[in-house]
Amino acid sequence: MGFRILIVDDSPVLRVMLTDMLQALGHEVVGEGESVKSGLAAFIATKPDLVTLDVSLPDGNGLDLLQMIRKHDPNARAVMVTGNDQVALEKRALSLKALGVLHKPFDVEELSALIQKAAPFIRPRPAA
Amino acid sequence: MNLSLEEKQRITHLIEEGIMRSTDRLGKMSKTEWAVMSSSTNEVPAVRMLSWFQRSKDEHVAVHFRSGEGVPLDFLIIFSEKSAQSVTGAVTKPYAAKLDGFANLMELTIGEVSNIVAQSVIGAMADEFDKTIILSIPEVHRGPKASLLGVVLEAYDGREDVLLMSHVEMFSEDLSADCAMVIIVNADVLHELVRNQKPN
Repeated sequence: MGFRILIVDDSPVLRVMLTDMLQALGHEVVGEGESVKSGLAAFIATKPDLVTLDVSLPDGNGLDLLQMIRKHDPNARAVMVTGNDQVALEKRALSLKALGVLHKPFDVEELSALIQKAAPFIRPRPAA
Repeated sequence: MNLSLEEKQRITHLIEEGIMRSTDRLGKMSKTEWAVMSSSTNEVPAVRMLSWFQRSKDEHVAVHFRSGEGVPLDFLIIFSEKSAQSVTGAVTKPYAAKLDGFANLMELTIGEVSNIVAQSVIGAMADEFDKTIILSIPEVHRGPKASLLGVVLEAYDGREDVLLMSHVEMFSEDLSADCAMVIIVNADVLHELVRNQKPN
């Protein structure tokens, strides 16, 4: 099943790579954000089924953004996609109910496995 | 400010563990196997580091990261222009058509590659000290090595900070690349971390 996915990552190169992989897996990338501010605005505008969040962002971090998104929509579904593989950070992400953490660099198989694991918890929603 | 021998050994070990982690990740990014040919970490006085870097007038690409919360540090990774180009070529090859429009593709790619390398090194430290360290997004600069070093030395206070330099030579079958890493960390924070590190 294809999901409507929002990507929030400061790196345009990573956004291109991630979009390519998600589309190859049959998902639709409905928007992109490069910061906390633009990510939150894109989330509100697109109401995605799932949002991928980087941790390091120019105006804050992805964990704070996840909390902001939750305030706006308590049922929001998110995965962290980050180069940061620290144990304490992963625990913090899971305590904020992120559905999983994917460490950069990753390949399409790892991305697919993460989305499959998260899929039972994702409820497709009508486009905004 | 100087580290004790024990602190120096502990930090060096963690940096080198992080460097080993980063070769696996670089291999995955560039679809080629990487190995560390040589790696050394030293606490170096700022003046000596600057004079060492002034030997090379060639253009280099440097990526600067900062961390605030908990463990304040500055982290600089410097690649030669040639290394930066070869790493960029290897990493972006599968997406070449889609990335064609980016005028600053090398800077963007080296920023992302350095992010992976920096996260590997910082991750080894954070896990050992049971801390979360969130790095800033990469800031990419170009120029001669000494002027790039100046970017991080602005944050350096000789009375309070420790200046560490790692020189790493990495090699893969298809390309060779070397980079230097400079880490500035507050000495008191470092002493405290080493003192309170979690038991093995």
